[in-house]
Amino acid sequence: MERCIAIAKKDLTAEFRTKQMLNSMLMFAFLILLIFSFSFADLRGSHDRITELAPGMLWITFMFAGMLGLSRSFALEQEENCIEGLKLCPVDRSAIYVGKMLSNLVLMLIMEAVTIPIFIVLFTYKIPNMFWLALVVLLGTIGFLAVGTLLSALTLNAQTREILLPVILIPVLFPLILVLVPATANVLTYTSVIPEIRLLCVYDIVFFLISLIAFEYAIE
Amino acid sequence: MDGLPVNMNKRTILYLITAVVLIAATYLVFTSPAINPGEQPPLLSDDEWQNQVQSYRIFYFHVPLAWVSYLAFFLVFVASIRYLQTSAIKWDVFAASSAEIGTVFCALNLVSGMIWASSAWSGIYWEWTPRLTFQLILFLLYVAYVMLRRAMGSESRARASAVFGIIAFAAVPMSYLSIKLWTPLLHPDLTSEGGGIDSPIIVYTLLINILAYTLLYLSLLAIRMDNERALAESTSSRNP
Repeated sequence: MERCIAIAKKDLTAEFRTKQMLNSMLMFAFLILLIFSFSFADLRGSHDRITELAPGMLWITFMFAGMLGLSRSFALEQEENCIEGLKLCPVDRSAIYVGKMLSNLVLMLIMEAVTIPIFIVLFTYKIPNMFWLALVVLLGTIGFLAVGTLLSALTLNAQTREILLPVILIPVLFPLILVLVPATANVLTYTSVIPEIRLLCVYDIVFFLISLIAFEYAIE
Repeated sequence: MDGLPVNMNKRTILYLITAVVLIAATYLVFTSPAINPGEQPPLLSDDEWQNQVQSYRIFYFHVPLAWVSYLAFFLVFVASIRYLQTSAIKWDVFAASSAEIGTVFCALNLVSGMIWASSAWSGIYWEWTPRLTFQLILFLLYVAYVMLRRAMGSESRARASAVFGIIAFAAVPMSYLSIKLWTPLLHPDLTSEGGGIDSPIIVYTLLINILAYTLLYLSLLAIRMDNERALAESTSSRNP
């Protein structure tokens, strides 16, 4: 566990020195929301209509901005051939996976924490129960990154890495999206989300474990 | 003919059986009674009702395609695990061939379902019902697998696609669970009571169609694997 944190810390230190990735993720999320805001300008203020659109808008924003970060996460290591150094570390390969996932998680959570207030401002929207929304977003992000980190490592050697990742990642994420969107909708309409949250936990655990095992082969 | 190697003969037999069973199955599709879709709704005229009953014949084609796409996908999963265990290239060739055929069968299943739906659900081709969603996800995963293979360089292709084959297979039961949260609607469930199978002939027709398409899958798999193997040999001889 310490080793995972050490790897995550290394990534975050490097990231916060330049803030290249975080800035582009934030800007990208902001731009997507601006497009939505412009497209649905007429609906602003009508709470019910926005509630219908909000889950889709939020998750499109999160996932696309997150994908931007994911595709860089391992590509970064390939410059100067750092990936070889990382593989030579006297740690389990799975520690690299968990470390990478943690650093990506921190970046994505920062992005989401900034994006949701922007969403509230742009749409003059009130979110009824912030705690549950935060929980759903956290679980969704973990599931997204469990698969995303693995596939990001997998596509490292592909010539068309940046365009390949979204194309192969979204189909695997589909079952997650099928739960996340209704779960978010339920949060926004005060309905119970317990069954959805249970399923999200199952999804996170299953994909985390499989990815953990498969990662060793993915990076070889 | 005695100059042919033994496995060539086996191949020929497989192709022959496939052709015969396919023809017989297709013949049965048109001669045996259609699956009974239930009571005639009072709003439909007799002609319209006959059309609808006849449209249920597409299931003799539709169900075997779905079955083969599940089978192919499962075999991709098994072959992927075997590849990671043994690093034997034959498992990779097997998985790749199975995935490509599975993609085609899955696409045909979706299209045949949509054609039927447009007539039975009065013009609606697509609805986010549980089974349609499930089949769609399966199709997307297949396409992703094939695209990943095409994009990878030859040295890491086999391992990458094996890893993806495993993770994609894990997504299948997960999507089943997600879909189960919704209320099941609309899609005819053939196996449940009153599902429309009310004579043994229908069961036989369905079974023989399933057999025919499974054999077709095996034949195509044999051909595709030959192609893949030849491709692997030619690339390895070009840059040793």
